[in-house]
Amino acid sequence: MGNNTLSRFMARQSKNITQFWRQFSRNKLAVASLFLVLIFALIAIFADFLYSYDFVTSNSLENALLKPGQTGTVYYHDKEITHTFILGSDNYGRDILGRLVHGARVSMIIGFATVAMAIAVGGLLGAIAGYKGGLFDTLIMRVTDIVLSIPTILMSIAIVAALGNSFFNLLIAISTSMIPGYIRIVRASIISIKDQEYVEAARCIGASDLRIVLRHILPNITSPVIVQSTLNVGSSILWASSLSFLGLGILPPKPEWGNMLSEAREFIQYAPHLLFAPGLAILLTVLAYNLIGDGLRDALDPKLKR
Amino acid sequence: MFRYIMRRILMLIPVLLGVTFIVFSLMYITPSDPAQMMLGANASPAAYKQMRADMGLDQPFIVQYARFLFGYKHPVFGYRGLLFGDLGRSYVSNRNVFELILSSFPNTLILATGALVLALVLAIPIGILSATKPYSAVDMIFTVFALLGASMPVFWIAMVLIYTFANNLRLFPAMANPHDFSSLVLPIITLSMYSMAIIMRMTRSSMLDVMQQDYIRTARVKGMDEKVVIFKHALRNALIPVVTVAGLQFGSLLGGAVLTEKIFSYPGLGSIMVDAIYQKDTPQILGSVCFVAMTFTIINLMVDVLYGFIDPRIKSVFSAKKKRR
Amino acid sequence: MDKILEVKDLHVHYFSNRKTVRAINNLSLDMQRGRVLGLVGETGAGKTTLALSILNMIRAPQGKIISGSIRFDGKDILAMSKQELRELRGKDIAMIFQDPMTALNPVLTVGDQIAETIFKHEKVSKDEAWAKAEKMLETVGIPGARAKEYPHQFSGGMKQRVVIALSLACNPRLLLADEPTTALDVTIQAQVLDLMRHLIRTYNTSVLFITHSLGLVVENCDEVATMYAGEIVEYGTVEQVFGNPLHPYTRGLFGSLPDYSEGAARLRPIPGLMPDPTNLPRGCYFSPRCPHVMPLCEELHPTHTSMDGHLVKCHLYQENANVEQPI
Repeated sequence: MGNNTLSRFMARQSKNITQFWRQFSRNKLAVASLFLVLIFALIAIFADFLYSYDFVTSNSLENALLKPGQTGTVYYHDKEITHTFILGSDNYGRDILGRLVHGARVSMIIGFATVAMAIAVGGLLGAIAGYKGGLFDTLIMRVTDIVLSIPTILMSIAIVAALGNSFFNLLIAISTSMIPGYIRIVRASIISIKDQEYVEAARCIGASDLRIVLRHILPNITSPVIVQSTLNVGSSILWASSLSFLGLGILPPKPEWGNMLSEAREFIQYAPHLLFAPGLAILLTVLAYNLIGDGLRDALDPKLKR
Repeated sequence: MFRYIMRRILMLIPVLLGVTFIVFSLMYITPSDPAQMMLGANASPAAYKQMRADMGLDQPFIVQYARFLFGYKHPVFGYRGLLFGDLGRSYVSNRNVFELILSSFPNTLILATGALVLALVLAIPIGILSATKPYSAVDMIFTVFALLGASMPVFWIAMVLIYTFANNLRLFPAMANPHDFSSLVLPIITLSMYSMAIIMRMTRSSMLDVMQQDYIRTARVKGMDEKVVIFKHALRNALIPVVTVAGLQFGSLLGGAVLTEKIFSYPGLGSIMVDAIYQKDTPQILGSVCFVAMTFTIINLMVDVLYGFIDPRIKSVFSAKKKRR
Repeated sequence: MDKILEVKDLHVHYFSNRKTVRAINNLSLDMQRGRVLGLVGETGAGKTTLALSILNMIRAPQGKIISGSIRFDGKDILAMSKQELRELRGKDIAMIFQDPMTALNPVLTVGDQIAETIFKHEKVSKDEAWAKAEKMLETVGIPGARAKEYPHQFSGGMKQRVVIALSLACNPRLLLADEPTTALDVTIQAQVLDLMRHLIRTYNTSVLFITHSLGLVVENCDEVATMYAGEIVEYGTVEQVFGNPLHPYTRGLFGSLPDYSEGAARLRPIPGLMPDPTNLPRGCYFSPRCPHVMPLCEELHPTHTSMDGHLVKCHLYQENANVEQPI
């Protein structure tokens, strides 16, 4: 039974996707952004083929603060290599483009991991609150209100401060502030759907819980969750870089866009190129996710269809 | 109306208690050890144990939390508790935590208010302009600007501004302090960028929506000047969602000033908070976070009340509730 | 007779998705002073567009008056400056919209909304304007003290009274009433119509009464015009048109009314739908649905034929009538 329901569900989805793509592709800016994000994703995935991680994290002080396009001699695995620093080098003589490439991987992982965590936790809590109601609902929603009354950046800072500085704690810190959003979306959809007559009717004719969830509840939740999570990937990357900038996220020598800028602070007068590449990388990534999110909202939200 | 506000204030109490509880719990699980910090690395185990007892760190969580709220009697480490506006002294500077907060908060308030005012003053007229000429060149330029503003990291904006206007053009100082207006220009611009973008987009879309409404057509049919149509008939309706967004922005400006203050070495609450975190100064962290959360909640309440003055439909909901009670 | 409004050869187009919607096509219509002209037709026939055109309220870039002339008391509305138009709107020509729920601004008191119109068009102080607004509310049966209230504090019927007070506040010479009762309950409809009839008589206002209800036309109008696909297909006094409907479409409208004398089973709806306004037929626009369609009808667009002032735009009547200048 489950299998059949699932396959029919998939079939319907594929038809929906074609229709959705037609709508989405009208928004040229969103399509361009999607393209950009895909390129960044490829760079992140194949970062090791472009620059070795050891290379971008080890110092070579004789090459410090090279201008974009300058070449320098690098000792790498006991070999002497002449290397062109396409975007120049930082104060430790590390290749900026290489650090950007590896930073893209870090940002990508943080963006997706935090959102996935937030969806899992927020979705579950929202589903419990919406489905069970009563005490669960009250409790979950009160805690949500409390969390929302602490400004997001502060919440993240406090969590990193409390749990200590590590990659996983950074993920927790960022995803915690996103959880309330998903709780609200999922709870609201479930409450609005669960007592509707067609769901009652489905239950009366003996539809299984899986079927009800797949056929009736999931489709109503997917659109807002997809839109929300796309926008959140962008802000997650922004927050992660902010925390790293403050020295509360990913610390050097690990390459991260925010900490690259933090390290650049003292040297911008002599080496302004340190400022532009990581800043533009963050700006473009966040902008792209925002534009994709807007595009998705227009394509998925029937209320806005004109 | 008064009763409504009172009720909302009463409803704040559990939320604020919850905030303190969450922040306190977070600090409780912090791996850092204040007793060790006070004594230094090579203290004797006996002295260490005595210090933990003096600081009240050997008590169970619930006792510590109760003391945090209601006070802790001790000649050195005692305080009257959060409810009486006293959280003791900073581990690092040995200054009274709340005094430090109250002396630095006005500085943050200046920055956040300046940023919000700048954002509103520019974003609302531009939003209106964009909405009255949708898809024109002007609208496109500002839409792009808003998109960029919403995607730029604050610290990057700050660094670019410092590099351009402080280091190279030497128009404004790179370090800010609350007594010198020219030093506040760059941090205010930095901080307002994101809010400006958000408020601009909100004003534009809200205004576009309102201009489609029937009552705007009615106003035009009555022969009203286009100025009256836009500013009297449309704007007040369009401002309702803008006020919400602006209120939320003000709250996050207060909290988000952290980065801006840090970069411009500005003596605000944000700087103090970050320093406290670096130095694991638990009382200071607790006090600052609770204080900002409280301010944020109170601002949200003020926004809700402000609604009533803009939208008569909401005001009558207040008075209807009053009558029923 | 004295004409208050002359519409000649009017063409209005809307533009959307690179398509042109031909909303008003070569429409000509005259209105006599002090009379009530009923304008009937299906939804989408262009009735509201016509009313908005009379106020020169078709807004670019979505819509445009392509050609034609609209003369109000001899002055060409389409040639007026923005300033002249603002003085005309609300003072000389007023309009009542279909839905009173959305026609009033929710954040302004009803008194303010009436008073600002008076203040704009008459040489009075703000206080006098407010006093007159209260008096207008009393005229439509609402206590003057309620002027301080907001639209959401009024019921639907009351709101439409406010809208009527608003539109009559400056004694307009022409009132465009766009389905003023469609959104109301039947009992409220009757009250509102009584009120309107009374006020129209008192102020001697000329009215363009837009409706899709033939019953309301008989009760309220002196003349009637039938509109189809953006043109007037039949025009005459109520006696002429109701006594002897000529155009197959008008007849169809009567046929689709329930006739209780012959039993409800006799209801005959007009088959088919109104033609797509982005792609109108070459000949008569009604030809695809017409029960009397002739080969000529699909080729040639008919012109007006007049019989003692009873005008009809149909090939059936073209040969046995003295062809007059189309109005």
